[in-house]
Amino acid sequence: MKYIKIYILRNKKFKNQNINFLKIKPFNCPNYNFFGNEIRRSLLLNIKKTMTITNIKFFISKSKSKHPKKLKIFHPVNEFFDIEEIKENLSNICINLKKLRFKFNPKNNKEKKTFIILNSFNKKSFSAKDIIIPSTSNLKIVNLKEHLFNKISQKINLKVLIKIENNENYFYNPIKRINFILEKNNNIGKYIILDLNSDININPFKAFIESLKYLNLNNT
Amino acid sequence: MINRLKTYSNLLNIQSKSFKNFLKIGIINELKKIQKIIHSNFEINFHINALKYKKPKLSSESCLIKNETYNIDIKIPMEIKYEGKIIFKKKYISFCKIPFMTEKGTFICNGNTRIIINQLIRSPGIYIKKKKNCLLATLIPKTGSWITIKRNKKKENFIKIDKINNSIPLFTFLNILGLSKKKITLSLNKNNYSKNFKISKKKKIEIPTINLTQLSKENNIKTIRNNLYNRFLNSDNYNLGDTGRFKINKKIYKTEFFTNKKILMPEDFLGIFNYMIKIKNINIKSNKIDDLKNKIVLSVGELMQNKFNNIIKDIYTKIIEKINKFEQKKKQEEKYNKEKKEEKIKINKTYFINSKNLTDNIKKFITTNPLSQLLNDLNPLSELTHKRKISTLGIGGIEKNKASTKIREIHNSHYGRICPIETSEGKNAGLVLSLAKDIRINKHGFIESPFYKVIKGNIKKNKGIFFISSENEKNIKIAPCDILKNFKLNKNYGVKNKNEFYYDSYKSINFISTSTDQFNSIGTGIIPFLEHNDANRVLMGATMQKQALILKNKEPSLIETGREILINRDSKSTIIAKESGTVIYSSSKKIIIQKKSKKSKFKNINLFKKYFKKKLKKNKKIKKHKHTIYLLNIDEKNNSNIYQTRTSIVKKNDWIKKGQIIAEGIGSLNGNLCLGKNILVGYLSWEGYNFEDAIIISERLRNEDILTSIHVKKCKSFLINHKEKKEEITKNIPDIKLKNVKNLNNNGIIKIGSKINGKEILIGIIKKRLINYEVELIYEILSEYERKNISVLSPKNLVGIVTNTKIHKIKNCYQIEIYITEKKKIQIGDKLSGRHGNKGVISKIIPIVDMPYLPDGTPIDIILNPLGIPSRMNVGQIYECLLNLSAINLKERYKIQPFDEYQYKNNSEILIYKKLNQSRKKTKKEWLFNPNNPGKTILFNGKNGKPFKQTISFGYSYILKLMHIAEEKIHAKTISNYSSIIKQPVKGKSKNGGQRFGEMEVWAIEGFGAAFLLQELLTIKSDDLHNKSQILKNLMNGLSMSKPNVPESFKLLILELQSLGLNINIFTKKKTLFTK
Repeated sequence: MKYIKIYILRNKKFKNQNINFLKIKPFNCPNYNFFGNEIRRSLLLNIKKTMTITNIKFFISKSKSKHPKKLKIFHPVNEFFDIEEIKENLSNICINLKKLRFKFNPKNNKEKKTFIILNSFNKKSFSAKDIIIPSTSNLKIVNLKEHLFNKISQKINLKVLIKIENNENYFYNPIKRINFILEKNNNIGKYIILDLNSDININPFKAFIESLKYLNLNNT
Repeated sequence: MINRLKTYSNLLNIQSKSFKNFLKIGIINELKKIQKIIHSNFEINFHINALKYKKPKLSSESCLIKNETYNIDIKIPMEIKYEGKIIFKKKYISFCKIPFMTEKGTFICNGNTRIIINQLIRSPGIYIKKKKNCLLATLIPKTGSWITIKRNKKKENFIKIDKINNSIPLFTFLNILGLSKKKITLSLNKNNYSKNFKISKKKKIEIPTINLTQLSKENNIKTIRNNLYNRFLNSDNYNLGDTGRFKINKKIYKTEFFTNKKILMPEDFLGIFNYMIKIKNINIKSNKIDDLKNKIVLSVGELMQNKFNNIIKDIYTKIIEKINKFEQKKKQEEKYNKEKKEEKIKINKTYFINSKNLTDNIKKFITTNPLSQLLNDLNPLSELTHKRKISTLGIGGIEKNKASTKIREIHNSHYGRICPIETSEGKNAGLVLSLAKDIRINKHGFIESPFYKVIKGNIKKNKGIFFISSENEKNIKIAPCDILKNFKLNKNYGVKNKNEFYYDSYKSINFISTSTDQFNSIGTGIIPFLEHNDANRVLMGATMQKQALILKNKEPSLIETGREILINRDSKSTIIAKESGTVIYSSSKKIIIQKKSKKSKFKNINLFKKYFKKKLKKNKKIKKHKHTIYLLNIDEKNNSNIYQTRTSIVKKNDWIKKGQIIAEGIGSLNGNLCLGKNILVGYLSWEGYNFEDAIIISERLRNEDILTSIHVKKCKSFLINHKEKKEEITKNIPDIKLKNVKNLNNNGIIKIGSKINGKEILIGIIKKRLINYEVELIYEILSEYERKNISVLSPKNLVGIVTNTKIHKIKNCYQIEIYITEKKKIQIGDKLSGRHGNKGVISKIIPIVDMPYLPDGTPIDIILNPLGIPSRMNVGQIYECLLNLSAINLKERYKIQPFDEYQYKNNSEILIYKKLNQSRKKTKKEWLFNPNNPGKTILFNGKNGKPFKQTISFGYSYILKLMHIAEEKIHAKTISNYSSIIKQPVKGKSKNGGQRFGEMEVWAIEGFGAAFLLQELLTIKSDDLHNKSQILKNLMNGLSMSKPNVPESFKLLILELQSLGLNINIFTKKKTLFTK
């Protein structure tokens, strides 16, 4: 068994990112540069366990139908369709939606995907706050103030169906930037300083500890 | 600084101005030739002064959708008299339809956007040339035959018409034209030039024997005289043009004797002869052909007028033909029934003029002329540069194969008028040019460039801008703009005078140019730090900017030169406000602007009541509002298959000025031009993958959609509507699974919004047919036929969404179009480039972890080869790269004037170091600027975390994705078509053909001695008919390969030799005839 001593120098949350400074002192480590680089590589390669949007679909219907007793029928609409009642293009809405970040604490390990819905009936500007999340799943949107689109008139209803998945094939890395520095002190000796920037939906310290599982330090 | 805004003009002014001139003046001038036609008993009158233009029926956008032409109708009142009686009353008839120019300078013809390029040709006038033994003067008119006057060393003078071999002596020629001997001698005696004409009594005139019969068949003086009169003095056959007469006037006459006649006068010949004698005495330099003072620009208007002139000549001859026909018919009728009374003569209005034929004739000009081309609308820049092209090719121009290198070179007079850098590469180099920035074209067709006046070393900007042509540049000394800032007295400066460059004192300068980049075109003007690059690489940079694809999330460049707004204004997809007002409504489809108006009395109150059913008090003032509606719809149809959208920039209750941009297309973002992306690059070699200009990119660019573009693919099919209904579009297709048909509508065409992956049915079509006539009866009874599936499938590798379907009906035929949009991510083999001509192909896409990273941990996105810089000499890319780096760290944007080096020495280098140092202090990243090796730092290897040995330069540069995509070009063959005669595989990707195994490739295999491989390639794999089919059977049965036979192409050779009459045959080893 090998022991590692970790100091948390700084741990801050910002609007767009989380910043963490860690000081690491591994025992009996001949090559510090190798150890630091392995941590950096495993953080970039292996941390992918976050929920991301994989599919978006749009549906529209008329708000006033001729037969009021009839059910409203929603028709599917493709991404390149322009709607006069909404100011942005649908492809621009897709770009806005993909800026959303989620937090997820699954009850079961089997639960891997959920669906969320955005209904727009009124005339106003819609943001991430208006998205409906099913009560059964433990999903949370982190950036609720993100602007999505403006609706100008009430003639039409727009419904957006969003699929959120933990798909490993879909590439998304929550860690924005990582760097390591080797330093030397007379009292402690050599040590590593990790500089970690991540997205707001994960805790960088937890990600660091998770990355240590994947390390293969037999060569040291 | 100079107030540059003064010189900026509308960049499309050349096109629109000349077309307007054609409509207002050109048409009427041509129509005057057939104003009154009197032939035998007929008299036809066209009242040209009452000419009318009718508005186009369809708008330009709906013409694009319906595949029709955008044109205006010309209407003229016509009157026909027969023997003094009026048959046809004065009435408006539609003369013809002319294609009309849109606001952005394009034409729409059969649903395609087209453009007519300006032509640069030799101007009409006199050209004098010196040869070893003689002096030549050629007279070039606008229309008509050329004349050359020749003067020997023996002082004999001859005249030559067109390309007739024998020449006529000048003296007899002048006699024939009507000048008497006395007049000639008198005019020459005055100046004591009688010795030049050898008419003294002692020496007789030596007239060489000539065949005057070549001019006319009968050897008669009258006929010769008539012939010459028709050639030069008749205005129908000969026309000097405005510029031709202007040039002759200037050379021969004093200002008192200037004339406006478009034909040649006998005095003109005397004048030219007089001028030629002068030249020999004073030794004036002969004219240069390549000078711009001898070349004129023909724009759209003039080219159209030339075509219109030919059409009107045809009309005149056709009308006279028809009159003759009519009279003959009438005479015959009178012979048979003499006794009958004269009936009233009735003539249709279409009898003499058929407007449909005329419109087809004009349409032909726009579709077939080599100068009219399909508009290159890949991005806003390529649109504009295509409109400002100048070509020396075309009708009446230079032929492509005969053009020597002397014609293609840059001339001194090009300064400020034609760009010396931007031309097309390859065959057309130097023949297809582009206009410089601020030029103007005057009424004669010469190009003019703007200058400020300088008097005794003081620059007078208050006096305005002077436009100077190459002709006027003779006695003027012009200084470049570079000296403006450090203008010191008592110093010599570089000056241009009479196409020569030398140093002269400041006092002698007359004019100074308005801006530093006056000489170059708009495409090259966008490149920042242009002055640090080699001209060859700037040319490549300018041509590659035209090929840039517009990417998904657009991003403007951080360094600009200040011309980007002008380019967007003239793009096809932007909308400009026609009137100022407030915005009432703006959405993704419509913008409404209300004009501010005063309160006024409503004039007709009763009318108002009728419409609005309201009661009004007397004298109540009503507000009248004027709405203007702008529709943002844009058609999918595009010459370069690019996805297009249009979005509004304005909000509700905004105040808008006239001429402001309201909505913009895909190529611009808030008025900034967007062609590429700002990406972090580093200059190092990485495991040999970037050898020879190859490029390595990181996975991030592919996964985060940074370099993805959107394309539209059009699939087309025709359906002929027979009476028997042999073909039909339906959903019910035999022998196909339900899964494949689920996306089809009930009418058989695919639904909008359905996804497509690989080969899928787009239109379901069935063909009915009968096999045997015996079975026909059964089918007739059951009313069923055998049905065959011939439905249209989507192309092989297409993955996308159906966005639109269209159905047109053209007579008996239905045309169905299906539009599919697809996103294309970046791949290995795609072409990337910078703005400085640094291009390359992607060789490897590697994960982010392996990429080298900066000292703060951010990985690099693109790795370029440093060896690409020293030999190519495009240092501007490094300047751009480093200034962009400080721009991102400081969050600033820069506007850099081209040639800013003139302010003080090493200006751009100092600016960049200053900015980098500033960003180091602000961000507290010490590695951004190191004074020992500025612009470089130590980077770290991504694989092992160790630093590289040497410092590496890095930064952000603006990178473009070009239209040469690997996916569209890659191709492999399995089963293909074979050509009909020689039975070899065809070539080309569209025919699913093979790759040619040429002469050099055969040599390579011969070199290795692989004889059997070569035999297999030339026989079984290409045109050995029997063994080609046999080999599959042999492989399946486990037999050995059969021996190859004589190939089909060899048999064809022998057949061809036999048809020449040679007895040639093929024999086997046993000396028997080869029959197979």
